[in-house]
Amino acid sequence: MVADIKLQTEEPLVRVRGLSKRYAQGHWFARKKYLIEALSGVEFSIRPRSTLAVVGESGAGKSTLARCLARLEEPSSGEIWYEGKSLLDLPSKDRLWVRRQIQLVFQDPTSALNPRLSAVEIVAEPLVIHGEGSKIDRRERALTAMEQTGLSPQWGDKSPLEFSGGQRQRLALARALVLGPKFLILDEALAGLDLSIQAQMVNLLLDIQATQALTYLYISHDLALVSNIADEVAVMREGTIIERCRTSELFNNPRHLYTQQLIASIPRLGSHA
Amino acid sequence: MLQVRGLTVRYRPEGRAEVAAVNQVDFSIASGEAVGLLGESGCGKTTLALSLLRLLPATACEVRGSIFFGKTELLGLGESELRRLRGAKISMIFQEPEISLNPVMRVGQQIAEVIRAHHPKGRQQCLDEVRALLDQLGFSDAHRIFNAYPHQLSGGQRQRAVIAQAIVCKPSLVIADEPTTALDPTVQSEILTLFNDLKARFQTAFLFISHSPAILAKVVDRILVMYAGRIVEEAETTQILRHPLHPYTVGLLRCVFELGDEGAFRPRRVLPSIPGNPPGPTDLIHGCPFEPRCPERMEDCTAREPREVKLEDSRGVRCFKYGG
Repeated sequence: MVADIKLQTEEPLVRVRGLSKRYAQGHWFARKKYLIEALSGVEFSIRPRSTLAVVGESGAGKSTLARCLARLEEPSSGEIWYEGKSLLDLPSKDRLWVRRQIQLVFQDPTSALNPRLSAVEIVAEPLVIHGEGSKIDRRERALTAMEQTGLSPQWGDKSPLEFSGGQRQRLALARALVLGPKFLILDEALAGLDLSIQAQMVNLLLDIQATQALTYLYISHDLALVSNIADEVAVMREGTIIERCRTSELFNNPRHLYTQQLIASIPRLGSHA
Repeated sequence: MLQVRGLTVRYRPEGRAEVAAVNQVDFSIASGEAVGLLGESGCGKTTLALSLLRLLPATACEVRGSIFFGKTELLGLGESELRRLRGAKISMIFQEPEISLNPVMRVGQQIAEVIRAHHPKGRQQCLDEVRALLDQLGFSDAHRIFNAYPHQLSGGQRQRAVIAQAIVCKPSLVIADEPTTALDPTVQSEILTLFNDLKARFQTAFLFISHSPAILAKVVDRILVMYAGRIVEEAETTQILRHPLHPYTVGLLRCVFELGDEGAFRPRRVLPSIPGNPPGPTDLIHGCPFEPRCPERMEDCTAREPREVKLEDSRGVRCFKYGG
């Protein structure tokens, strides 16, 4: 209980206020483009070392949110604060620092890993980009990161194509961890993996979170999985967050009708057991 | 109705050694029965499904055993006989509805095409039948769907259109390969309800392929568990969920993310998982293929492969724990 109160009062690591993103759509040559509002007025904050899950169906704006937070996409309006600094008007000298702190893991590891590089080269790439260490040093750190995610350092010189789906996602995770980030955005990172592998990966993620004091934003459409990993859940629909609360509360007492529908649609073994 | 005996499918990928994707598989499906095929990716589920329709890619160099559909041996049929069978008697629903539909043809026409391929009916009559079917499938605006192109539909609507295509000729067996995996959760549950509906209404037998026990639990009567190209356990859905026998099935069921009883949230803890990875097709297997990941391995396990043991109530399991 004491620990709980402490967590509550801690400054949030990430705070998002009134975040909106509009895309112009229409034919290339069309005079009139119409606007699609992918995000409108999204607000939330994440405490350090906790996990916020964002759930919703396709088209809800989950991935746009992830891309805005990772600064791959420029939001149309709103504020993103990270450790008390506004990410949207950051002095250029701090931009690299932020890129080091916030890392993104994508859904499909196959398309996220360069098949021309070996596993260890892939993991070491962020170090190269940030100009860190000597070549030998970088290799050493990449192998350590691989080991943290449960990949044998002996596999360092294999091509990513030689890894199974679950192992590729471990490799993508190792690449995200190699710079020692504080905030990880996991965009459907476990979707498409087999159940037994998903469970392994959830354990790994929780492990790494505890040992490296990481904060997660976990994006998913899988509520059952989310219930096992998140401290808080935000339900998104049509670009807005319609409900946000502690995980236990969301599942025990969903307020919004849409949340209730989502929870009811989880396939369960219950009726047979 | 469908009887598969000793089915073995071997692939010879270009420039590489031959591998067996499906190994000595026996099973049967009664008419009107819904059977689930459960297993992780790469265990041979899709190969098995494709071999029933003789749709295997050219790299499949050897198909042995027998597949009896009624009194017809499917492995002995020629291409023209197969064409008469596919879509009319046995049809298939694939995972991605985007790929199964022709992007430049109206949905209604595509469905009607299936009827015209098999019955000498007039164009108008076919279209009328399709309209009637779309109405039955619970489309709220069947008329719009009929005239729409696939890209104008949502994922769930497209999957319904593909289902319509599969059942329009009232086949006696429909094979559905992960039909809901690409769909959103609420749409997924709608489609599963639709499958249950069809089962009751059309008396069609289903072979439903999935990696998720929770999905199968919603639609099938009996489950076949596949691992490394073999069927390692077979039982009625309720039995297998209540008392799984094979250590692989036990592990797989434990991995299902559950919300707990009555949807109550279960606090965070270390999740049970199956250690390691399933063997790849090129891995050499000595003894039981599950042995390297099995928590209950014994001495016998590496010596030879367990035989299938038949237990009471049509259950079967391949494990030394039960005398295999």
